Amino acid sequence: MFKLSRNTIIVIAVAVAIIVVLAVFGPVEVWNNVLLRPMMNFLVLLSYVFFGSFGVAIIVLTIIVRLLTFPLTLRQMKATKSMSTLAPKMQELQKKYAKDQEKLRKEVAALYKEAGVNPIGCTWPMLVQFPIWIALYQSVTRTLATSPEELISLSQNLYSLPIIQQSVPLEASFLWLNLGVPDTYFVLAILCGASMWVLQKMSTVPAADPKQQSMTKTMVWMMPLIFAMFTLMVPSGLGLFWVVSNIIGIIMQYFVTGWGGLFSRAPAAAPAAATEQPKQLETPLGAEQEAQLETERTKQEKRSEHGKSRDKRKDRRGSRRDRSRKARRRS
Amino acid sequence: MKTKLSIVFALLLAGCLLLTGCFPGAGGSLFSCGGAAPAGWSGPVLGNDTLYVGTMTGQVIALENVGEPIVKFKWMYPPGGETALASVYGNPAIGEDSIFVGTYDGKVYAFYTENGLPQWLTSYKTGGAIVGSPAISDGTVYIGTSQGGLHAIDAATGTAKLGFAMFQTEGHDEIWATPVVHDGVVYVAAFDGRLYALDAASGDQVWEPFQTGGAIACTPLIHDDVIYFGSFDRKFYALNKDGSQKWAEPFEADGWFWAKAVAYDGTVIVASLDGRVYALNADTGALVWQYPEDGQVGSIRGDPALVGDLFVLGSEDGKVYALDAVTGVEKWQRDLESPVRASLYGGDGVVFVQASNQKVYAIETEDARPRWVFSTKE
Repeated sequence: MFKLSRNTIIVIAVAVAIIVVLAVFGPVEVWNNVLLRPMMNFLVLLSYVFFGSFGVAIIVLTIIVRLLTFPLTLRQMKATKSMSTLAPKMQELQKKYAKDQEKLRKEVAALYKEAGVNPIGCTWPMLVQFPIWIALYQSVTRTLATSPEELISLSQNLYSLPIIQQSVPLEASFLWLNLGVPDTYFVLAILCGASMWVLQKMSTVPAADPKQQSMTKTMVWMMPLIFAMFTLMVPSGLGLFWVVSNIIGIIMQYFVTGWGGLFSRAPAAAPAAATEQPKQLETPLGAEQEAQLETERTKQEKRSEHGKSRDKRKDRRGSRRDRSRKARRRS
Repeated sequence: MKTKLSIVFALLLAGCLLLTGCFPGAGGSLFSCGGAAPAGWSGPVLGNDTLYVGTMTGQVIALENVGEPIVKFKWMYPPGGETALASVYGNPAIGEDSIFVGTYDGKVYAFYTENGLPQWLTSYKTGGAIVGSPAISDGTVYIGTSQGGLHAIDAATGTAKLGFAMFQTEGHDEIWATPVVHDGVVYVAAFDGRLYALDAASGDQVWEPFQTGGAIACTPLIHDDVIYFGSFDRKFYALNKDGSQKWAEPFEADGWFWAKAVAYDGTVIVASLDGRVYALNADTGALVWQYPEDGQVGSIRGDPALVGDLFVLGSEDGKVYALDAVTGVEKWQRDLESPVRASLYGGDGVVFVQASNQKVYAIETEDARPRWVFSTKE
């Protein structure tokens, strides 16, 4: 009889429930009423609480959403970190079984199993967070209501609480910014690009494959550049959201992996170094990861020391046995 | 090659993120991208048997023979082939021999009614987006802007009167409501939630501004020396000429008030963005009738029109409704299949309306039959 684990049953049940709800109410209704409208109204409420400042409301909502999704982010970061510690072993395997892909697959799977790492663990927390981020992004743009049509649309999505209804339209000026139009001083664009670059550098997992490494390198500067350009084009409220989100990301990343690849240099040629010690193979890891690797190495040395002394004892015992056997034969 | 691929990949990723604005959005259809771009919602106005309207493609058009089954195109500004104006939200205001139009890029234009040629040498630049309509009184055009300025412009020359702006709101809060001039006083409402009464000659405040709990985009109605207007605090107010409240309590609805009220036989009839119409006793503010009695129609933003005993309104649900002004009973409804945000204009047995599908309709009030339909796209 086909038997399902408890976790699988829960996942299937949740998936079926989501499909049924989407089918009955329609995806737009579900999206609006479950994610978007609550966020928009909360943003307006925050604006009211923080003396009508929409800029502060954007910052606070971004922090709250980041904190709420922190368990998922943490899982994702930990999974990524675990994957990065396995990189040297992966390289060895890739080199060893370069011609036997089937065997390589099996060995990689065994490696993951042995280390207790699930490669999908890096992806699913990100996938779960994705709709929340889209809703947050949308709620910022829609609550800004820069045109009369948008204001009408916003009015249709506000809860009928007096403080929410009365708080709109929101105060668009914040610091030197008019949140409804792009920042003409380039400050926000620079902040967005710089913070994204730092975050990218910190969170980038060292790639074993040179092709992948080249791609990662390009992404590290390309993404911040593109987002900096977008910040010059979109309402600065959205730029503010990106900057705040990046800064929170940097703080979180620091507490999980340290500065990561921010203050260290990438390896010149990964494949050439594949046969060397893991410390030289890897893009230098964070202080915490270094310490972890060092501990593992010490443990291994101790284990091997222990193994050697055990072997010596065995040898001694064996030679004693041989000597007594020879003596018995002589007698 | 690798770098190129990476750039393409990065662009795609960033594009995807920006396109998240194209996911199902509140109030929008699936894959409706981000917020709505400013398209305009100018309503038609009738003068000397000619109908003037700002189109959603940034033009001002004049139509003749509006009383006949086949309407005749008179003129258009700018003419075909020339760069269009910015979006037009307000209705054109008709002067002696010219009409005045404000655009979303903050410019005010004057055109001769006869041929559509510009009357002023250049447009008047206010510096702030214009959403309300201009008001004309004694050769002066009054218009509010999103920078919080109320401008008084000489209708003949297009030059500023009483300085660049005759009045400026304290926090540069938007003036989207159309100013109303009555007995030498300009009444204007702003997003700071205040209704101002200003001396038309000097720009001085006649009385302390009346403060409401929300922004005001509703054009005040002045009837029997009482000022009626609604606010985004969902309340509808009645003020005496000295700025004091007429009613013991303002009337409260479930949504914002944006449309201008109309007065009819001792009642003030007002529509709200909550999708309902309320008829209030003009003296007490007590509710006389409500349409619909249960539920609601789409949001009502445009100013309704009164044609005889019929109160006609356009709604966000794409329908035009005609109600008995005495009882609030629905007489007919006409589905235009496109949201109606523009103000309606009542003529002789006909109501003119521009829907968001860029068509101007003349609807017979007798039987809801369209007399003609003119597409401004062509």
